[in-house]
Amino acid sequence: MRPLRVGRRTAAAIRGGVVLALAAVLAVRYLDGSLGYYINLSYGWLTVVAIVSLAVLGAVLLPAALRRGGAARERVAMPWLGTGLLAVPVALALIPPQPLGTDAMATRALQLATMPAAAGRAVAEDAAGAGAAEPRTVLEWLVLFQRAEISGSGLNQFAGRTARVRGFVYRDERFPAGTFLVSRFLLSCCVADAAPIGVAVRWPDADFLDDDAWVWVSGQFAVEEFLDERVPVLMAAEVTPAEQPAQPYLYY
Amino acid sequence: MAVQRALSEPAPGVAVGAERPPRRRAWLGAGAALLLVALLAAWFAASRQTTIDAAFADPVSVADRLQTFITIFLGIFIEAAPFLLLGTLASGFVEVFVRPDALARLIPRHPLLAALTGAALGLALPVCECGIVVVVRRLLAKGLPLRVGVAFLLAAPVVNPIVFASTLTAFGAGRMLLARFVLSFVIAALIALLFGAARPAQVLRAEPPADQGHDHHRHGHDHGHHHHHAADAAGGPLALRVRAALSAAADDLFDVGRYLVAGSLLAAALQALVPQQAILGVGSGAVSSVLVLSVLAFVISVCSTVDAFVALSFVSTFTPASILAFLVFGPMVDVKSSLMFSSIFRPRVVAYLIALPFGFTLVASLLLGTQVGF
Repeated sequence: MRPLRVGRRTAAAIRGGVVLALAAVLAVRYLDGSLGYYINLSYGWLTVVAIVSLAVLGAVLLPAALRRGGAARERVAMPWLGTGLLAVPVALALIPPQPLGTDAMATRALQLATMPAAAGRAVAEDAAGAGAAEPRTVLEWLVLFQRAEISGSGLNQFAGRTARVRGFVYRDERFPAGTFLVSRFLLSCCVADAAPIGVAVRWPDADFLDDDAWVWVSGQFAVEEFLDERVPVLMAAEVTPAEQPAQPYLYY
Repeated sequence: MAVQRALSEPAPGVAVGAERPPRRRAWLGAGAALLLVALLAAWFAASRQTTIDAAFADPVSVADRLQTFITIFLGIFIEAAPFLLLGTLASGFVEVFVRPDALARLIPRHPLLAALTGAALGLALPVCECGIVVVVRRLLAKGLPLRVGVAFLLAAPVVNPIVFASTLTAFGAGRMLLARFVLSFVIAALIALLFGAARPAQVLRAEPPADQGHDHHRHGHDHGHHHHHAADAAGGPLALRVRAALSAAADDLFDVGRYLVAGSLLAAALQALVPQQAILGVGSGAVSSVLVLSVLAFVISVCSTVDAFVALSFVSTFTPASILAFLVFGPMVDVKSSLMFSSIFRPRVVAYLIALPFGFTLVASLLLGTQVGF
């Protein structure tokens, strides 16, 4: 397959256009906040570096598209495959962004009571204090569970403690009727390393909830068997619809 | 001597003045990657009833799976793109501002010293696996000896201050930190010494990149090469030289960026379709755990600057030796970087660059795990 040949101005316009389009879609994702659907926003400054670099390279490429006469009339080989492949992220970034949801959990191992050590460090020590119904993230609760297991104090201490957490609904066929997981994804770098975490919830109307629906769950913990693990299960007193957070993932 | 030969022979992968042969191999490589993605998608579609029904009470639509694939692809690409761009900019400036004879003077001629120098270069030029490919590609074209380039390519994603800091944060100042850096350094130097026996023409891609319509040709013939007239620009005003460097960087972006896109597509497809449990479930024994985490490192293609934090999640399940294998092998080679290697090396050599780090890491990790009690 031989590369097609086009005028030098056309080639410069296409290549410069792809580079600037890539800069533009990254800038839009950065400015509208949806960059956080893809990477840990701590690394957002790197995306700014990419946007600036792409803009500079585009500015170098594009002027040749406006040049007339002489060499501008030459026909050059256009590497369509390379150019087309670089256009792929532009095209896919135009699709309305969505964070990872229940579908992505099908290929990842659920973590119900264990966390990466680094995640534990990310949670302030005072989170271990015995607050009444203080809202905590799913991550904070799981870190507390893990600390209790490691220290030997056990999970039974959580029985009766109240909690209010937000996450999306996840269920699969292993779940007993009337249970679901209030779930979040935990990220270190980008969605490539996303790990699903969740707190098991028992609620009589759980089977009527839609997968991926964001909910607030309030209730008291009881320590029960769930998916062959003995873990704190939140006995829900109230489950209410919630807005998807601006940053749907939790980071460590 | 091999080093002298390497310095005297132009590296055909990216360098100078050859007529452009058909670019069939590049098309075939990228086409094969896309075909693999398509086949995986077809496999997924065909087997959806069993794979998805096993995990979900309600079958998930193909649209959901496609959205997951897109999100993961964009995540990998957006995370990697800044490093690729910084690499292309460095490459462009190397092209215009670094003279081959100056490079030759800086590199030791003794094979062992050359390999060790290459493995240590990352300490001065901290780049991850996405940025390193384009820099090494350009340095080889400038006459960098092959063994230095290979050592730099394999070691730099780990042996650099940024990864040192992230590993220190994740694992503390202990044996994991030490073992990761020493093993990465030694394996990269060993493989580089093996490559030192080869001639660049046997190893590097035969065809130069296409003339991509860059705007700095002014002499009225379309010869398809890729020299950016650095020699012309070298004596010119600084602004002209900077412009030539940026133009070279833009060409590199297209030459290497396509492999990053293809690799990210493949990595995202594997992540979206292959359950991690299927890999992790193979076993957590002394040998199987090393194999499992090596394969996982290859598949998930996490950036080396943060992979230490990802590895932490395996501490309670897998042996320290297998986590070491994850931290050593993954940064050297993964799905996306192995495709990017195709922009420098012949396909057979890319296969060696996957197999050799895998083999050395496997043996070293098992020895450390079983004989030293790591």
